[in-house]
Amino acid sequence: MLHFHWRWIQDYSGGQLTDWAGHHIDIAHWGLGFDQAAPISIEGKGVYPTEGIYNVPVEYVMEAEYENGLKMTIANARYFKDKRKHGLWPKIGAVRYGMGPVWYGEKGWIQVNRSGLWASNPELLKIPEKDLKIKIYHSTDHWQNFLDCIKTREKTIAPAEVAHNSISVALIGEIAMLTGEKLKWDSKNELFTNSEYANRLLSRPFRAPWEMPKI
Amino acid sequence: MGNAKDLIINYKLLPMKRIFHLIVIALLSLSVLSGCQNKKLKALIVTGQNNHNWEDSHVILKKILENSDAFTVETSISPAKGEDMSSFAPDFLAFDVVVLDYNGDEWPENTKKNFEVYVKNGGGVVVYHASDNSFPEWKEYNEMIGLGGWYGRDEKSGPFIYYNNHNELIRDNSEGKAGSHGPQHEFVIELREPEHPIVKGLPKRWLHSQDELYSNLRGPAKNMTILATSYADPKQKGTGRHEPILMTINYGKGRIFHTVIGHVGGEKVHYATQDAGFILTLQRGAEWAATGEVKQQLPADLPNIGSAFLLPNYKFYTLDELFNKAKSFEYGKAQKYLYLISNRIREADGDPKKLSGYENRILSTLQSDDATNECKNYLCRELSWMGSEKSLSVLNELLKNPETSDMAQFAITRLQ
Repeated sequence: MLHFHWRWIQDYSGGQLTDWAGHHIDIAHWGLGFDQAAPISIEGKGVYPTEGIYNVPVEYVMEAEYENGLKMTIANARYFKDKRKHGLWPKIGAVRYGMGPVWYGEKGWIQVNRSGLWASNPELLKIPEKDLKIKIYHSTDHWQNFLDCIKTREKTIAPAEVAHNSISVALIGEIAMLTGEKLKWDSKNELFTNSEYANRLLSRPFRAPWEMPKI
Repeated sequence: MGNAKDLIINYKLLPMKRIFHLIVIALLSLSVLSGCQNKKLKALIVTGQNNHNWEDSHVILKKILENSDAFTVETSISPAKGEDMSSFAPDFLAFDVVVLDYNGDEWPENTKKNFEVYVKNGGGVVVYHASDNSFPEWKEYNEMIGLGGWYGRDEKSGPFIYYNNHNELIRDNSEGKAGSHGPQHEFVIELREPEHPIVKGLPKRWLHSQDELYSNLRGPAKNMTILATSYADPKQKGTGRHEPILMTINYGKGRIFHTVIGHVGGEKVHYATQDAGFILTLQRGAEWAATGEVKQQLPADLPNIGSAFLLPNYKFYTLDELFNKAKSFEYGKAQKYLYLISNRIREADGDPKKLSGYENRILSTLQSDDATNECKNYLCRELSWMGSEKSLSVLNELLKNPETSDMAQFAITRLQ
């Protein structure tokens, strides 16, 4: 219980969603060049258990919209399997390979997760790095990368601000699932612009005498 | 109604008397109309012998049907196994739906014929759990139930019917005995016909309580629709197939609803029949069998994939009941009623009117002497995001009690 299962209790965690969203949304953003970009709106629905003590959603789906019109759907894998079964995931391919981001573009789709890399057309994966239009940050070891950057003063591959931006999508999604509304998000001021209910859920009041330190 | 209108038009009495008569006729029409709307369907449970615990199950089935407010229920208990069955002749035709909780000795020929006539002419039937083990030799019965198991059924009884892992419906004529199940376990029920009136509005998948997952059923399966299946996991000694769990069969003008779940045996708590999905589909399936339609409204709390939802009183909860039961919450006891309340609040989708209603009930609970501090603390948490100004005075009162002051302050800080 202590090491692992605390995460199924809303007081401590958002469950599987926030467990994995940090990883997958982070990569999704990286692929989109969205390290600093955040959604402008988000809505979602979750299924919450009622027996026992675990009370985080076991199934969930949320839709985030970004300023450039991009729509990101974040859901547990079963959601996409079901959509494919009922023919509701036409034209734009299907999620076949477990977790991970799937980018859909004009030429097809690409998916990646810890097990591998797939594409609608394998030729897409064969483009040599020198022919790509963007420069890829190379790091195969987070610890080494951190130590190197102490010396070089370069940014690490996953700086704190970027990580914050990635997990924030899951956290505002979690709030959207709790209030059931379609929320409009002002990422600059980190506030919802259309729901007092949602704004209240952005933080938890500290029990006196504890308070958030001012940095 | 047409006759009443004629009476009014042709009356040549003085105005006062005419008005009196108009009022009387109107009242009579109203009472006839409301009588029609309140008339319940008549259900008959047939039981008395079973390889399961029929003494408990038929009582449970009666409770479940009565709790739907759609049925009056009578029970016909057969003679015991081995005794003289010749007088066993329930009056099927007097009922709208016959619920079978019977497997045992053969019925007398006349009774069987009467049952066939009843169903052929539009009677409704619910085949419950082990009732699909009954009468392997009675051809018409096996056509009615669609699929059956055990008691000598094999490839001569008809094909295995199941869905494979590619969502294809398979009719499998290979040899093999009919009927098996692994050890009892919780399993996911998945809808195949989500638009069918019996299951419309239910989640596409939900977790069913611990129960027997009937597999390898065989039968003629004519005019049969599978409403829902369950994957029989080989890890639970299952077949690896998606086995039929809920089915409908048309036989003549009759409608049959077949549910394989709801095992009742020697266990202390009959969890399988307490399962909300079992209860809901039985209530709705019985109405469909009786009339071909389902007019019952769905309850506010539905079965879900997160946990097997049990209803120990075989009845869905009203919001009042949830708040009442939540009052006694202590750490270590089930948070169920509070979680169900939170679910309902989430379903309000941020509608201020609906949330205001929940807020009022929460405030009422916070002010009551018989609600535990743990209950109040949980509700303060909920109130902290969906409450309004009107909560502040009640929350300020809770500051005075050291057991609730932390959560009251939590809510006050968020609401200001």
